[in-house]
Amino acid sequence: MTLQDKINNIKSQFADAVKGLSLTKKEVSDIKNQFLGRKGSVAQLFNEMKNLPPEDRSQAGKELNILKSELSTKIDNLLHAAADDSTSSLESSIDPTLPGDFIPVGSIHPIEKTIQEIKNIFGAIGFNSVYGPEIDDDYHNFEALNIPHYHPARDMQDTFYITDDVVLRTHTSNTQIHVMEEQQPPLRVIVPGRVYRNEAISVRSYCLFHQIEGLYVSKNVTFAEMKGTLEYFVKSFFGQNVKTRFRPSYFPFTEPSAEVDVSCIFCKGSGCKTCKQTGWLEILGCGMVDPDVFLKVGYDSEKWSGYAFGLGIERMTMLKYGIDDIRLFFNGDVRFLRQFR
Amino acid sequence: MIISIEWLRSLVDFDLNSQDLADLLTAGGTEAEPGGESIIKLDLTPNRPDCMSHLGVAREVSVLTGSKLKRPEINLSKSDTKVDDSFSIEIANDNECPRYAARIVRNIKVGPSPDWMSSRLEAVGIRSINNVVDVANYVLMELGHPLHTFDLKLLQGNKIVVRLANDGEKIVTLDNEERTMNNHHLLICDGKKPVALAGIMGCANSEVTESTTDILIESAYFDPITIRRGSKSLDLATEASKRFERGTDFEGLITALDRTAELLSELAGGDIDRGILDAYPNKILNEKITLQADKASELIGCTIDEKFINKTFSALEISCKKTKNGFSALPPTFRPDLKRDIDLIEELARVYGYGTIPSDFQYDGNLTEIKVDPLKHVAELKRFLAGIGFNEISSNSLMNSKRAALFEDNILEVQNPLSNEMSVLRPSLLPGLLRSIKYNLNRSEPNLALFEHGIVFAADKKAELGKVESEHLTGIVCGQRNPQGWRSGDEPYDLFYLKGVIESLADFINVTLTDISEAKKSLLFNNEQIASVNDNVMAQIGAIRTDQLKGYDIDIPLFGFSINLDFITTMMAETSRYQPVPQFPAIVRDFTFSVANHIQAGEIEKLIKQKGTDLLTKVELVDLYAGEQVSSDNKSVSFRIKFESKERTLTDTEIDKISESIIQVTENKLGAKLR
Ligand SMILES: [Zn+2]
Repeated sequence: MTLQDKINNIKSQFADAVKGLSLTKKEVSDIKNQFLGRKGSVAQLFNEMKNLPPEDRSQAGKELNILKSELSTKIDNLLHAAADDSTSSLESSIDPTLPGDFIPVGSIHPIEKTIQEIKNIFGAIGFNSVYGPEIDDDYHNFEALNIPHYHPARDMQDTFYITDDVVLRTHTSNTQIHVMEEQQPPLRVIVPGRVYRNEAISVRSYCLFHQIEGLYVSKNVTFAEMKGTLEYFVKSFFGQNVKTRFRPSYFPFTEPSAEVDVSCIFCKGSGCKTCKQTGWLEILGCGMVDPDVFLKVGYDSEKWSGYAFGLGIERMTMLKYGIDDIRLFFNGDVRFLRQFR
Repeated sequence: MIISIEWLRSLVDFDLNSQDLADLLTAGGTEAEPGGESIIKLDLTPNRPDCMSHLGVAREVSVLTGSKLKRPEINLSKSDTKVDDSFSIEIANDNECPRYAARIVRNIKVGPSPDWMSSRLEAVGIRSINNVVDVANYVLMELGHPLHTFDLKLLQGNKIVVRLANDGEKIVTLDNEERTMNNHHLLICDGKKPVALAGIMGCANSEVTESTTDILIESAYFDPITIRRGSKSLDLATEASKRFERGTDFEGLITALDRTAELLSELAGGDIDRGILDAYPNKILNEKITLQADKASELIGCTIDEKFINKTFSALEISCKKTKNGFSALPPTFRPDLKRDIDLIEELARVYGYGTIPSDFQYDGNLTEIKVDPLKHVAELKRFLAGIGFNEISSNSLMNSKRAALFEDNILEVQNPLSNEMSVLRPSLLPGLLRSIKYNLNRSEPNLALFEHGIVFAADKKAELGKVESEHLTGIVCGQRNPQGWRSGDEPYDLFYLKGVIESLADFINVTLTDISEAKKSLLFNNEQIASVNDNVMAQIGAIRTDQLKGYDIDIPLFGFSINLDFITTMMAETSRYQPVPQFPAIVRDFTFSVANHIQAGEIEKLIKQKGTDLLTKVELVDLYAGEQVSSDNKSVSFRIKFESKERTLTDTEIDKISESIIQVTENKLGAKLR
């Protein structure tokens, strides 16, 4: 008798043993012993393996293991069936309206969600994500961005100082300078991060918020390209039907500069409280990188051009989800946080 | 800045209501909103001081509509008195005051202004006082140049001296405040005393009163930085200082002076001395700008033709000549923001209309290597934590200094905090988490699992900029993980839960924890445990220190964890190689030991691992029991041990042998009895 024959034998014996029977737990356990017990028929076959020539043993072992697991699966099933049998009266009394085992799920902060979404949108068109320091020197936060001391533009941003020369960054634009100091063009980066403004806390403003700065420097970059890219962003973030409006503005480190508005997502442009009846919502600032900024970082402005933009994450998130109080982001109220998965 | 539409109409013709006018200006870069039918409100950017007047806004309207600008005509009636005979102007610091011009008007009668003037002033929010004060304000609002009027009889020594103040010098300004000067402040003095804080505010000692008859009108150009610095240091911003610090028209100041004199003599009946006192030691150069022919088109991204350039420059009063390669342009003196070709391109772009510029969206591939987001793995980690029930929070980085001191020693302080509650930068994420825990407990949310990822700060004199920023990920739990249900009892958030989180996390990032045990010295937490992989700390867990709870008034147990982000993200970035699926069945054996209560489960586990040979692949503690079945000083501990071989099918005999040695060693070393 070959090993295979013996295996087949056991299989048919097993089939006979369980055939047509509604087995009790005890009966199944006896069958288990008979086949899979320490002295059962499968164990005997394992013992016989040592009589085989060494080169055949590994194959035999494999086949026996398959047999063993096959039988034990069948026996497990029988055991379950037997158990169910004995509790059938309980089963029929189970109340199917009882709740399931709820597993509490946590949440990702809405600001983080927005940042990740924006990173994905710009990541798809080749913008790398980089990060910069939250505390920086006056040079990187102001001076290198064409905002010297006693420049009226400093009034646009109330600043927290650590020392006379070290500030809590007022925008992620400081990282533009760091990136350009470390890297030669062409480059395309976005910089998400926390920024600080010395402003009293209210429904509309907080002493800190998050921004994403974007910077693209290459050859022959145009204002038209900046428009196209930011329109792509707006549509990706707010939806295909949202309209975009560019209007001239002023930032010391871009020229020409623009403010970008989107058609109000609440009233679809017809005018409501959120858009102050204008039909438009201001969402970001942008512009062509000022040649003086290139000069500061040692780029040749005759050779390179580029655009930069900055947008407020809280504002984008508030608009997207209709959140009306910026403080909700920062007080850690789980009843708020749980709404963002 | 408020603009009266009626006043504006006197300077330019337009057929627009206030809303349309505001929209037109906004589209041109001067953000405006209507304030009813008769005024518009401008939100000016600091680069456009030229728009801080009705004439400037009228010019914008003219540029954007093509309608002609109507400048006010000035007709001076001159008397025989020649001004120079009686009075002189000395500029001691011509960097701070490059030009100082004045006219003298005599024999005026101070009285009320006519209605047309007072109503225009009131429309833009200025209270009418008397004809002298009103004229100066009127010209300020009309032409944008600040003027100052002195009572000539109160000026001693027949002269004006412009000089920097001495440190500690005291003056009393028009608002009756005594102000102490430093040597950056610029003063207007007569022969004896300061009579005005240049460019910011006059002094009470030379103010025009009801009885004034002779007036000196000042129209000057002050260095913007000097005025800005003075105004900032005194925290005193006025209509005048706001214009001087942005840059005023160093040529147009004469027009403003003439206009003031004209209106004064017309409304207060005075005689204007012949001639202007004009101290202008070094003529300010207004430099030509070269604009290459195609540069505007290239940067904007569409064709900006010569015709458009000429038309636009002409409306903007930029005189422009065609040259071989492009244009040579001389900007007007009221536009301090136009210095470079790019500034002219911006003018062209905004007048062309940002809406008219086409959109161009062509993605030209990656410029450089794609860099993996350094926070890619942190994002996965956050997803993991959210998946097992943690809520991510974002808390204020600014906090109370006393509270911060409970967490770290080297606290970084803010020089100009908003309040005591926000005077230092957070040295740890724990205080923000605790604040949130407290906030939620107060709102009947007792079961909390929170984490935050963010930057924490330390002061360090030796570090660059005197600070160190570190990225942390920290969490806190309290209450019940799974509030009691019909199938299970309470499952508390506690140290063992957190230990499990860290073990699962290790599993998630595919590393094997080599140790998770009581720290030799608790730093972050009470009963701190450190999870490590080889010698790398992966995480710290423990109970929140009671000393750090001071002031929070929380009386339930809190447990926290802190993750070593560097280590975890490094491990996550590594690709773990595929391991062959086991081909031979495993043998699983359960062992239940009865041991003395003081024996730690970990000691037994360690021995099991030692004796388990390399066939042992897993040890799990599956039951722990103390009670009737065991004697009172004993406990029963069950382990499930898995044996596996990659090469062969294991026999019961060999596993029996290993089991024996495990049973023996635990008995010999720990007195454990197999049950
Ligand atoms: Zn709306």
